[in-house]
Amino acid sequence: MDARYLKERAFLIITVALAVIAVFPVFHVLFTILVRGGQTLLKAGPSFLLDVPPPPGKGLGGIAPSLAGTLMLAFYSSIAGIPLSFFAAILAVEFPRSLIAKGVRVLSKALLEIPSVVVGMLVYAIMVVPMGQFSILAGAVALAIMMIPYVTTYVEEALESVPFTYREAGFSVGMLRSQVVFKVVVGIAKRGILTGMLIGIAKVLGETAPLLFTLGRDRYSVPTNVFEYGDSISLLIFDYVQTPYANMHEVAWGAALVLTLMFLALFTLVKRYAGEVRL
Amino acid sequence: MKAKHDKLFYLSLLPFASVIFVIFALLTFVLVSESWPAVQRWGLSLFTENVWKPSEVSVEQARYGLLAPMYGTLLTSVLAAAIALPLSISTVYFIEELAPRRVRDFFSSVIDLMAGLPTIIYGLWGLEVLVPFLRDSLMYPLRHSLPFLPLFSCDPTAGTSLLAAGVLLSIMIIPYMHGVIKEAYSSIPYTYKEAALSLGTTRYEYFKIMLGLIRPAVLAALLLGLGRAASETVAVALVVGNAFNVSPCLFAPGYTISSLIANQFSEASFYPLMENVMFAGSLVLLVIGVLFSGLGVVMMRRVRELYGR
Repeated sequence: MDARYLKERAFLIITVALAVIAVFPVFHVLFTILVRGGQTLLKAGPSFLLDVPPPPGKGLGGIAPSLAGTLMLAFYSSIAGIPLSFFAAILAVEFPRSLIAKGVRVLSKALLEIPSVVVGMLVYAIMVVPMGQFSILAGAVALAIMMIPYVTTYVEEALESVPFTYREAGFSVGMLRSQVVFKVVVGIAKRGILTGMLIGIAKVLGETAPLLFTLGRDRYSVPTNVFEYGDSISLLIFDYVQTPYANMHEVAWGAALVLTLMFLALFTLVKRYAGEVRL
Repeated sequence: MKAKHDKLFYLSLLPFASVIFVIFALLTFVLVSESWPAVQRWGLSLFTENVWKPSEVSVEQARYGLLAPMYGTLLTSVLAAAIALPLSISTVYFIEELAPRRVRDFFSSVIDLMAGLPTIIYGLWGLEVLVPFLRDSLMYPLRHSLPFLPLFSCDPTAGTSLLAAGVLLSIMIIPYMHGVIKEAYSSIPYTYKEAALSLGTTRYEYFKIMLGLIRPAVLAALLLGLGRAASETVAVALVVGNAFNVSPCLFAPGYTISSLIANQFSEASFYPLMENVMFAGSLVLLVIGVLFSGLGVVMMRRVRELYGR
């Protein structure tokens, strides 16, 4: 055979091998989480979701406070982050020539480049220190900031994808701009907007770094309001895997399975809503 | 009346949009004002020396230098981007040119999943699975077969090391680099592809031509990947080993700026000025990130202009 074709052969083999190597780890991650987390969950039973964590070295307990914390954080950060991003995106699309709109576009994307741990430090400085304590509220604010770039970008794209003729139709029947936006454009772009919101939530669900110095890590009681200390599943994993106790590692794997399942549920939902996703 | 309404609508949206500006203003203010005392106290040596002598008693006895974490950040990100680049180019070529439709859709979904999976999950897997694997089947063999190279000049005791962090980061940044390269690759006009094929190129020659057409995108992917890797925190904090080292040996434990902050910021308030040192570190991190991603975005704009997108 001639050298050109040998080269082609080698090239094809190497490329396919590298492509497989590139995605292999994620399968291994999911598999390991399923096996090791599954063992923990089977051993601990349903009380894994209802109990408090075990003392070092003995038993498995549960992750109820951390689970509650993660859900509360997702809820409160969405309440703050989603409307903010939604209306900011409307401004950016509807008044594209204004200076504010240009700023929103540039800065909301620039937020993506701020390391998440720095967001945590910022919220520590502007909320935790003045308030004198860690809180779910501070954690939710940090997560809301993390959420903004994703939601804003997706809502902007969804609104822009609506053809201009629909707007013209709205204006021609005497609608005001706000009516056109909320009654016509948002309705048509519903799918894209919803996808953006879900992606935002999926993104902050497993965040760890912004919570390190904002949340307080109280993992022995379920928080009742946002001014209390709280915990998240991600923080629990981060701390427990660094302890020398075997039972805490098991809890960490079980918690990882719970977190992964929550993430996968959101991920499949997003996938069903929108074909192509960029997380 | 319409114009008035438009104005009102604009004004009612304004508070939401301004929050984004406020966040940036606060960020700049906090980072600069919190870093300032540390920079004032130790000057440039804060960034050029490798010392970490905290003191609870007085600032006079304390000394800090961020060289080790800065070195670690740079080394691990470069390592990660270097490993991830050929892998991401391969995934793009595989998806765009080789895979049948079904495989292609599945493969794309997997890469989306890789991008979204919480970083703590990577960290847990990295520490419990990847680190022992790398230690036993990569680090020790290299250590024994090539002990004279400075890169491999130390024993990988625990396995947590700069190398482990680099490898884990490479896995985590593949989806981003893939995304950048794929966008450029699929924007190459069909006529170019046909022209190349009509010359009777082999797939290898064809690939080389295509890659040449999107060279700025490859550079952009490299830069954006570097930026991503530099800012990653918890996964790295778990596998990098957390030690103040500036050694050429890849098996030595190290620190990155973000993992230093993750590990020590919580206790920093007990030591005078230590928090401020960390804020100075985060400022460095931000500058690195802005530099890499800024350049990356500029490159990407050139790619988009290239084929009129």
